[in-house]
Amino acid sequence: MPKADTFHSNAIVPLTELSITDAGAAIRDGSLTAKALTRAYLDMIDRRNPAIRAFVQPDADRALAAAARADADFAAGSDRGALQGIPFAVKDLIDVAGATVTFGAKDNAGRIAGRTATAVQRMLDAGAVPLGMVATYDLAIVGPSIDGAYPPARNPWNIDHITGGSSSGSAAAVASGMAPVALGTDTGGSVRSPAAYCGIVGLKPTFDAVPMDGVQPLAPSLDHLGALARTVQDVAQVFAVLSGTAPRDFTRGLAGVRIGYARDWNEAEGASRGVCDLLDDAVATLSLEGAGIALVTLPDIALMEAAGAVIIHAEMLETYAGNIAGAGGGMGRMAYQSIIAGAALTGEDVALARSVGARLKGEIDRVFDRCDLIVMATTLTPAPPVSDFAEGRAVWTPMRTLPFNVTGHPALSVPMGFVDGLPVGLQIVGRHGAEADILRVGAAFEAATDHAVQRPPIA
Amino acid sequence: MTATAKPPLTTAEFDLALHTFGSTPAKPDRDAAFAIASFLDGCCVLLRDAEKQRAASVTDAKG
Repeated sequence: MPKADTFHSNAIVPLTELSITDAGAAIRDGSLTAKALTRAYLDMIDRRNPAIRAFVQPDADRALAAAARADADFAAGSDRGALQGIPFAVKDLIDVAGATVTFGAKDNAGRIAGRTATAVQRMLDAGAVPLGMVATYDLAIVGPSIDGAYPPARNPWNIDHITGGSSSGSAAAVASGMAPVALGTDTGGSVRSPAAYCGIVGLKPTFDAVPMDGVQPLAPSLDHLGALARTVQDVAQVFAVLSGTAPRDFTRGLAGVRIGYARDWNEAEGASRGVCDLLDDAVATLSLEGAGIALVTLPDIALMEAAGAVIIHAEMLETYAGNIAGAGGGMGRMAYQSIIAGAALTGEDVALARSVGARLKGEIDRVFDRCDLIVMATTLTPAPPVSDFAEGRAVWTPMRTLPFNVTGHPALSVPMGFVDGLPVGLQIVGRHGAEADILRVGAAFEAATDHAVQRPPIA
Repeated sequence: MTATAKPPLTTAEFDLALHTFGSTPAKPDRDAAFAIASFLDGCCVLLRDAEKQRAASVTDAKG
């Protein structure tokens, strides 16, 4: 029985290429063990992490012990579902008891978490195997920076370009085959933009769908916990565990689905023509798959981003008000600058931003009276070069993610193709609680294209 | 953005706001933070103008 580093079905497939479903089937039919699968990922970490720098604390001992427990449970007839024996990585912002969790900040070097976040505990209770902690931008605020707790993760498609963030290590680990799944957080696009830049799938669920306890807050009214993986189905299986909901059937095709196309949100300074063209192609593909398409007009993007920017800066200042005395001590410079920038905001400013945000949420809800989902680009460019950040200052990159942190709608980024050799993402947004709908459309798009099977050119 | 009654944020106002948090950044940090604060100030202008326009349109609609 093959239990080495490949899996033999009709073709020889490296273990690290198996989907959750296929790996689970192989484990259940006895042709693979959770321990062999985990070892394959640990080997991949040994091979690729020195160049990609996604893992900041791989934990082989903990992983192999968890894998052995999963195998023992299977042997004893205990099957806890799709994730039993499946490895996963955790963003260095989410507590795992006994692990070093720094939030990407030098000041927290050596911080040992004393608790395990509920989201991670749900993964562990489902029998998933923790591979270790993966990089985040400094305090999940801004990056890439050179003065965080560790050097920034690198984009597997081109190490001279950023990964996006702040779930930088989560995206880089999955895209480079070092983990099938990673947990991330998303306050303004931190799951979706690195997923798009690294050519994988990223889900930001509905606000409050996944518990946030044990996760270092940034802006609590905008913070979400989500998942990154190579396929929509893998993300869906993780979301079911994280949210404590039953997996839904989303493989029904798109007949009868009404999709609103927010094409005017592409029009922005710095938007890539290539991204716009791919978005048109993506919408055509969805139409060919049976969906009805209609152009929709969403609220003014500038107004939505203004509300989000004010809220995020006010809340991050509140989160870190106790850490900014003097000149910011050992805090990373870009993070410190971003935090103190909110100092001049007044309570009236913040109340207005919240009021406008609530109104805009209502306007988007009304768009959903006419369509089931809305699609747009995740980011308006591929990943910028790392050299753009060489001055040590935050660089604005055009995205379409922050509005849905303000409104709390669920949003999924799926690979949409390549511009200048770098991946970009299609963003699919649904009604509150309608993760099954956006996953259904994402899965149909994935099946109709070959974007999700592309792999970065790394050894 | 349309004109509003409130003038743009000044460095003196920003420094005073930082003082209330006990924050005394070095000049490069202060200048970079002020650039972001000025952007946020512009965001607030946009939000106020949008609310004024909305209020005016509601009033118009009521005739």
